[in-house]
Amino acid sequence: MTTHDPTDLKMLWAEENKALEARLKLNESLLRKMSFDKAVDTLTPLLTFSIFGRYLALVYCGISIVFAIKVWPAFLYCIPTLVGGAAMLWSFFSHRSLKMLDYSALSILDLQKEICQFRIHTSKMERYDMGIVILWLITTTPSFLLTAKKIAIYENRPMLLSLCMAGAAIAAFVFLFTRLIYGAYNTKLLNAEADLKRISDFEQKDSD
Amino acid sequence: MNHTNEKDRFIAILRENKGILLKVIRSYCKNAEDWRDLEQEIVIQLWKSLRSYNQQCKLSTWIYRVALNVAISHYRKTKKQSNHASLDEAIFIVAEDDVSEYHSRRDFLYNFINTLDEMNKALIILHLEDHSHKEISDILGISEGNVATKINRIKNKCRNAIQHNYDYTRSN
Repeated sequence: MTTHDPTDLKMLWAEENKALEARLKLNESLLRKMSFDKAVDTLTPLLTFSIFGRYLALVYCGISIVFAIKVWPAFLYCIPTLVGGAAMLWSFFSHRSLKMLDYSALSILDLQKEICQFRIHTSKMERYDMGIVILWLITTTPSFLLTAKKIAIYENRPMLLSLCMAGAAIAAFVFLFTRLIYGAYNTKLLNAEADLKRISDFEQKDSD
Repeated sequence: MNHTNEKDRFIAILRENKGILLKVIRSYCKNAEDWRDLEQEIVIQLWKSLRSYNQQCKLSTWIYRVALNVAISHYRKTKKQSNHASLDEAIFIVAEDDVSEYHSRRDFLYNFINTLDEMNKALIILHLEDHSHKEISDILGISEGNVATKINRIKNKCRNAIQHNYDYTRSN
């Protein structure tokens, strides 16, 4: 490039277009062999998994309600079970912003914002989701054992001890690895927030 | 439309627009390894979006929108997290040219595009493809005034890069 004129860039681009026409070939035999319907892109499985998880929370809530009804009026069993179910219901509603993305319908900025917001949302919620699953398991297990196995865990000291130990082990695991887990979540969260900020800056810098 | 016809139509669209797709891929790939992942990802997303393609919108505009959206998302990923096996062969095959003068001019072009961030890359590609400010603003989702401002800013950056390149060539 020997001139100082940036309009040359447009000429060079047009030149590249012409040159490409002659040099570029589409691998059609490969395209015919590809089964597109089975192919997956990177983001869709993540979104599908998150949306599936959201509806699964509703199913878990339903299971809790069924068990709570079955053990009614044993409050020692049904109240914790309902608490676990309520936590799952909260999880379902907290993920209501999740939706599949349409790459062709949204403008580039809108789609990139949606992707960043999805990443921010999942990074923020992952820690709560993990806690909710643990809470649900601990609170629903006594009702499940009473209903399905006829084991009244609060009157069965070895079983109660085992449940307490399992709960304590999970809590200890979560406590010990909190920094590690939160560190990973925070890194993801910070990256997504930084991306969103750059997009917003790009959108807003009208006159600077 | 049966599956074979649909695939034939899709391949015809790719054949017709292979230049657009290659330039997007080339501008957003950090290295050769990225190339096949990105071309595969763009082709898959185009296939998935084809059914929702609205005929009122120009086909090339639709292709740019999908391809740039996929390329920007791909570019932003810090780690390669491909959940499908990469193809052994490439979809877009480019024969090498042996005109060295053209080679260095083309390298300058892509090197310059590579100095821009992912959003400005999309903006300059659309500008170089002769899209109007209105079309660019529709595809990108920013105001026409913002498009004009940013294009001017990129032109200034380009002017500096050309000057630098010119000075460097003379001093050697």
